[in-house]
Amino acid sequence: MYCKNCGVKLDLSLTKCPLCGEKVKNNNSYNSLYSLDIDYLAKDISIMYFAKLIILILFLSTIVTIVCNLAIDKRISWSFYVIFSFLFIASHYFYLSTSKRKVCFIVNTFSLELLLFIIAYLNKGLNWYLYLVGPFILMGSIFILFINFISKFKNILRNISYFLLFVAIILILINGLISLYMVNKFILNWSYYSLISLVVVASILFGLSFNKKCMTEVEKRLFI
Amino acid sequence: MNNKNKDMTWLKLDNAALIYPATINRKIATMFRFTVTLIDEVDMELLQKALDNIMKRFPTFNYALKEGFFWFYLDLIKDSPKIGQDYQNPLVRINWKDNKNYMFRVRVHHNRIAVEYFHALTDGTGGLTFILTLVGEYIKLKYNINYKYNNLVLNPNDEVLDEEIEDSFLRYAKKSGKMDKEKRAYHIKGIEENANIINIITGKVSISKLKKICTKYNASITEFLTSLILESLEEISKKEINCNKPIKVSVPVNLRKIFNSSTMRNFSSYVNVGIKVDKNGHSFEEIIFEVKRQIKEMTTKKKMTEKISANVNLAKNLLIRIIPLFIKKRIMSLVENRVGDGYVTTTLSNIGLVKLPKEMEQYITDINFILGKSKGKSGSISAVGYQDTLYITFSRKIKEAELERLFFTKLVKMGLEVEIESNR
Ligand SMILES: [Zn+2]
Repeated sequence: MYCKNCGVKLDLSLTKCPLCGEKVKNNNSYNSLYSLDIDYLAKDISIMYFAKLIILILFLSTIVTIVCNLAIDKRISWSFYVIFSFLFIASHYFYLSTSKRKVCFIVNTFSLELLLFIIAYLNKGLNWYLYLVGPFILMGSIFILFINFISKFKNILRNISYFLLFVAIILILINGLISLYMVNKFILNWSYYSLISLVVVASILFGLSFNKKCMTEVEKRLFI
Repeated sequence: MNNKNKDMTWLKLDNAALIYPATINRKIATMFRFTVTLIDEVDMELLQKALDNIMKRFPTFNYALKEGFFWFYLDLIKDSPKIGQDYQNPLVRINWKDNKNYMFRVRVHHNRIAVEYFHALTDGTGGLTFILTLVGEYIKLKYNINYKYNNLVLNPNDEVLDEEIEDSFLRYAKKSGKMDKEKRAYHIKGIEENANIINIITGKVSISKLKKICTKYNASITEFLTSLILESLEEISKKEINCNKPIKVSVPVNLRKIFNSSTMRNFSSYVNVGIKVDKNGHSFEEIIFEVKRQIKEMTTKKKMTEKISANVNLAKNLLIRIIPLFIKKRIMSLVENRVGDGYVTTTLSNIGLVKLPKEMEQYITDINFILGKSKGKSGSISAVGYQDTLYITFSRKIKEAELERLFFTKLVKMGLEVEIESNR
């Protein structure tokens, strides 16, 4: 039997051409070459299976906690912590279920923010959360996404200059946020100096990055 | 022979084997497989007896892979291997415990005997010698014949030579070595199959007819096949926008043919043969010219000595030696992903023509050679010749068979008859 597309002769056991998928009529269904049984790795514990199991166990224990809380206090009070901790852990399930790492990362950042917000809110520590913890975690995540983004460009010097500019912006924000927290006003003091020096270095590097000779020297010495 | 005096309860891994245990993950281990198809249904009990008879002739096959604090090592097994049934999806990672810790397994399906090896145990030549000696012994028991042993079919009652169990890399490595600098290569993209599944397509071609075409290009069969694979890969890569990575095929080199060695452990290296991608593409003549030039340039004794010396010296480096294994294996795995699989698009391992004793040949209809999955590559290609048939086998972990289709239809267009077999 020949495949009319590929022109190859097909073994009697084949019902379609493995090269192009064209179906062929072969009355011999017996494959003398390969068994029909499938081999499995015996100890192949799937991570997904594990994750589902853990989430299920945590879910059940969360329910138990809520029931206990209701029975004792007649309302949901301290079990709030447990509920949101559970939601936080469950959101990490995304990491395993999709290959879109960036989406997972963003989802997890927000779930962490939410968890900390709830803890701060229940403890009446919103001031502490809004000016320090919340923005710092957000900046950290954006920083990681930014590094991930610029690492796609080939030019090392230009990447370093972008990086320095970004650091300068973050330092300004840190300075401002701390002053907001301490004196309730957005005041910048020490970050001016770092801003100026970082911008100067960044622009020198940015300028040099267009010089080919200099670039090859740097690449030669700094390649990883 | 004086290895009886030596402490053989444990062995160090040979230099080429060092990398394989470090790169094992949950799903994938570097494996390869030989199959021999006989004229009759295989008698399992007799085959088991044949296996027991030949084990003492291959002492290095009787070891298990164990973790030390700084390196992996091989630990003597006080047991004997068992034969099992074969499956539709061969080359699934060996589960050591289920396999009595052996790094190879023998499997039977009707007329066919298969042996699958973990690469840390041996290379293609060692694996081929083992299965052919096993089949030889089986044929001897079953059909009661005698034949003259050769370099592939060993006499199981012969004494084991010291040099069969040596690490030949250490013998031929020099003080200073050199690694070639390389660029990352193009990789075929595709939808990955389930971890247990491997797609195998074997094309059978007449060697005499293929040789006629090869002489037209003044190339060896390996050079011709490599060129045809590169041409097919170039067509695939052209469909992708902005693909500027080179296309490279890794061609294993049997070092026993360059250096004097008869070791049954790993003693092979590889050369990466490739072409740069440009807009106009290359004619087949251009590719063949380039492949011949590169293979000739890279497989010289001098180049190979540099390469194995670099590897041996790296393993001898004190800084590397003092890193604990649990850290070292992570580093090695990362390096292998970047350097090993990262530098090549695929592999073509041609084991060459198998010459058997005449009396044995009448009982054997086919011989095949298959490479297992690897982490970084979409698939691998292997070839083995027996009588007038060349068995070219593509194994892949993705659904798409575009490379296979291009390659075999090119052979058909050159006027060759190609017979296709597959496991799915
Ligand atoms: Zn077809």
